[in-house]
Amino acid sequence: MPSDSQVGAPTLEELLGAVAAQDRSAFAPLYEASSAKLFGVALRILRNRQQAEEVLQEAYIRIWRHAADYRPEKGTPMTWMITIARNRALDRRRQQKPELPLDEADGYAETVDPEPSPLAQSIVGEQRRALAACLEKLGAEQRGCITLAYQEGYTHGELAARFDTPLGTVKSWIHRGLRQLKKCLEQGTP
Amino acid sequence: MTDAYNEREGLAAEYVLGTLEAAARREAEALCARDPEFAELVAAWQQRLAPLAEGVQPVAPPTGLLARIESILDILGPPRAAASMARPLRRERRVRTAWRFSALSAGAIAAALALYIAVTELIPQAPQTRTVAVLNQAAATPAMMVSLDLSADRLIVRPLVETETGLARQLAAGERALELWLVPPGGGAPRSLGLLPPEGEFSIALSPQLEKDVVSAVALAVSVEPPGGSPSGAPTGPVIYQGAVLPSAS
Repeated sequence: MPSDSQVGAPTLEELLGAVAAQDRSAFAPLYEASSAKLFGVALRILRNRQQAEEVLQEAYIRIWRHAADYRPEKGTPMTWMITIARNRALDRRRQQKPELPLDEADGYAETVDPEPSPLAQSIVGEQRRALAACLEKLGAEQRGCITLAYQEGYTHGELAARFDTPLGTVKSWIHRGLRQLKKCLEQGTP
Repeated sequence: MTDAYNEREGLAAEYVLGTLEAAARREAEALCARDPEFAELVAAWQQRLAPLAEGVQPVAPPTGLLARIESILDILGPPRAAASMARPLRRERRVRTAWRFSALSAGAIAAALALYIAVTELIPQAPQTRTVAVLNQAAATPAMMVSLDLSADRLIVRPLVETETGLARQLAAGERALELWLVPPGGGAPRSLGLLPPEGEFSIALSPQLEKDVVSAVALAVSVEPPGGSPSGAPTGPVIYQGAVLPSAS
């Protein structure tokens, strides 16, 4: 388990289990332990506090109602909850007609520039180390595209604009990057 | 292993990565729902890429949000499946009953949108919002909040989620309109409360009679209609949102 819980406090898994068992008293602690991460994820994709708040609200309602669907073998509670918030945020972002102006997007992209070190440092744990190591084996553009897409919600078109590269090239970077990533992760320690 | 990453897997991976446009996302989700193998591919990619979220800084959400969410949970009731994993018959029943009143087919559009309407009563001198009615569909996401502002004598409809893109475009272009309906008790015909704007809040004057009608109504609903509203005076298009009106003493 990641450092989701403090000593003596219930783990996220326990809280989620209690929520699935209709225990309302477990909801607030679950929210307190996870909402900053989920809000950060939604905010990074939407770049709008109001929308990120709405997404967070929708996500926690869904978490409350679907807690019983959580399967530990499919990932940590945090991963499960982040997925819900991310999907809501991505859906919301896709509904917006005008694409974000590029200069605004650029400001956000700095933290995930296709340079390997910051990402590798921010990723800890075995699974995380494996992903970071495999990401580093990709080309800088592939790595940049995959990271920007996952963390910031970029579409192929937005990535093409960001990298000033034809759409087809970006699609092929991502396609090849993901395929290589899978192969690398399956090979165990790269 | 070289062939392990085929087109299907590519769709699963890019769905998780987030690069797909809205329509392709819907397709991937539909595939997930009917194809367990594809759902497994998606789950595996979710695990693979999950560490990327570690690189995203947490940001504290606004302090009032938890209370707001909890007030919605009060309306929604318990999670959809009980801890025992017993067949959630009661829950299904409750949801479906509330939906059944309408003879109108919700249609494909509703599957993507239909959620709930909450009717809330803003009590003068009391800052808290009291909810007197709510309904949710299986994918429980608030869609609209209908409140009665008794201090200003207004009925207010506030969208909580964005309208699905295709429909939003038609509304903005004036090709279609959203109409708000009140379903009276005793099986009476739905009565129009007016056309909603393409986006944003909507409010109408709340007469004592209307207040009485809303509070005693079986449900409120929103349907998609031709420009200018239903030509027949009854809902003709798919009902995309609706909410049962519950007794106020909850």
